[in-house]
Amino acid sequence: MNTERFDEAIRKKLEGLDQKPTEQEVDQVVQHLTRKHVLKPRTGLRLSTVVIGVGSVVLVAALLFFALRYFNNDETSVNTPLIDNTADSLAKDSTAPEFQQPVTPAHMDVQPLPGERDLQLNPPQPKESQINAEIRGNLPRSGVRAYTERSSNSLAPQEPGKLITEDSNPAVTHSADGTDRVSKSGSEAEVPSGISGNQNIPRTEDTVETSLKQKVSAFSAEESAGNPPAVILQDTMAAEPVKSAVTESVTDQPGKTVPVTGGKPGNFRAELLRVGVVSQLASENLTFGAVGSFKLANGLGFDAGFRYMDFSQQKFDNKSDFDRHDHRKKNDRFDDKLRFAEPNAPISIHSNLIQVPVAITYSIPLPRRFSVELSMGTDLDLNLNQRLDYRGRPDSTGAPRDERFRTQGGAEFFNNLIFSAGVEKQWKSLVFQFSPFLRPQLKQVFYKPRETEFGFGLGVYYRFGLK
Amino acid sequence: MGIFRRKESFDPTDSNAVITACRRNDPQAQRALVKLYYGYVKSLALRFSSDQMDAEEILNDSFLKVFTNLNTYNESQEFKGWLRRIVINTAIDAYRKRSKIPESSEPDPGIINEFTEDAIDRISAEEILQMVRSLTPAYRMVFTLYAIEGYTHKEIAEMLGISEGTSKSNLRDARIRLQKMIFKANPNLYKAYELKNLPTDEHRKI
Repeated sequence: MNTERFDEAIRKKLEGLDQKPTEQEVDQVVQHLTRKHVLKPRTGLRLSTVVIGVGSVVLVAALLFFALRYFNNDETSVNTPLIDNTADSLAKDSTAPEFQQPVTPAHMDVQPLPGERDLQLNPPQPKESQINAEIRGNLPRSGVRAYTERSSNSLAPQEPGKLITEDSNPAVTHSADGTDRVSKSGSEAEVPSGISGNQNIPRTEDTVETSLKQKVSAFSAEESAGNPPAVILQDTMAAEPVKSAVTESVTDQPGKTVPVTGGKPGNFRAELLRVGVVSQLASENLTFGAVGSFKLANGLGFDAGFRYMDFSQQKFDNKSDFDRHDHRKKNDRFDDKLRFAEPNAPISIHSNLIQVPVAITYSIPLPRRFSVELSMGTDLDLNLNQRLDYRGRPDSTGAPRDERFRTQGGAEFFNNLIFSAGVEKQWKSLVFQFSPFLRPQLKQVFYKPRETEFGFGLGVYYRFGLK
Repeated sequence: MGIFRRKESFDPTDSNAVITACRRNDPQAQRALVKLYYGYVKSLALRFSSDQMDAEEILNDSFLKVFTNLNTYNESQEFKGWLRRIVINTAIDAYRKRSKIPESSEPDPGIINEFTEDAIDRISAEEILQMVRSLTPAYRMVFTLYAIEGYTHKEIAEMLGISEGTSKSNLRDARIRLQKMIFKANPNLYKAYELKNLPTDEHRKI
């Protein structure tokens, strides 16, 4: 046998030794190439990572939700040293003769109740006891927080010592000697002559707070007669208790945890994690937010994030126009304010909302790194802020008063669905998304004027992983 | 569940489509390319290495070079040939890095004229491969390059940095060693061969 035949025999023998590799062997090569930065790193996201990631998002959302719910809870009282000195004076002089007079403001449902002392509220009603306690030092903090701010033209000089009364809300004033006082502004036409007997406390905390302030204001006004002109408390000062309320409402429940449960996700492996910013434009609102997405190898995915929704300002020509359009009962929270609105002055409402959008998605890849993404989900409403601008009735100086009233809370957690079919284009590590959507309301809420909304969203994502 | 399975934008069995997708840095295509040619590269790498670790190193480095230089690949030529050249060059680099000592030639045991193709046929391909891998690095490189890959002595000498004479010498020795191994694997053949080639004095003693 010559050498050529020997070599050929060996060569033939060695041909066809190729073996089909296992997935593990391929993985090892891919990992080696990834470590050498030849290939882009794969997500490395396994089932455990997906569960932890989704669980974290749910946990954060749930904590926020419960924190806000707790904050908005009617039973939660937060010490707000807004009228400390006045409350002391009030407690000291609560038996003064002027307090024996009945209070009958036009917008309050006042009914005489049996009682011994002025401002002594009915013990069986928790609201009243709360108020009773708050009168001694603090104001109660309600679920629907509200405060009033004045425009500059409301700061008309008051006559020194003149009784300042009649308004829906009192304002804390700083006298020239540096002493904080609670006073009211307005005409004397509707000045309550005093506070006497027990009173039926309105249901809403807002009204409770209002009536309480009125009582305090009436007393304080009497006491402050002869003092120098008052200065209205600025917006920032009124807002300070809000911050403390948030802080305390969260810290009041240490160790409060939300159980995280997850179903068995099967053998799906996460192929991609991406994070981005998304904006949605609809007919009556605009949203901005940050969204994180998990994508599985089979095309399914899960989106979650946070979103700020800013509603278009609703403008009404006058009070009649407002009432005519008020088919969503906005008056429920604004009625107390608008009762004193100038009938022919314009009214506007501006709302914004903090949401947690969650959605299940399915991606269909297209050529040239395009893909279609179908999604179905909901926007969970966490926190609603509303601002009412109106013109109040002229005060004693005859000057018009532009009033601004803010409320917070009252958002319905789950009220809608959102369907979208979008197109995505991948460029390097970025993904650009255009997604028209349809957002039907499952439950009508007063702050969303349309039953079904449509619009489009634009998003930019940064992707981690192989897809 | 086929409806939920993600469709790939290329045919993973079509090497041209996979290569095209790899050039777009499509991660799925890159993985598909590895999967498609893993066996081929591994079989080549095993011929040039004595142990599994060396083979894996050659394999990994070969794929690294493939993805690094994929843009230089001319589609008019066969990808497998281009890939083969990369693997061989990688193996030669590994040999140069490790084997600095020239192989010392052993005495020529003589040509085994009794050697037949039947002897090779009786041995499995895995056994043949194992025999090739058991050669010393210098013998293995020259034998593999010349007998299996088809390079000339001149090319081998240039690639390995040795003289043509050394290449020829190593090839001859490699063949003889392989033949001996094959004979050992065939006891009947080996016995006949051994008796015939024993030195005269020893033969007499027997």
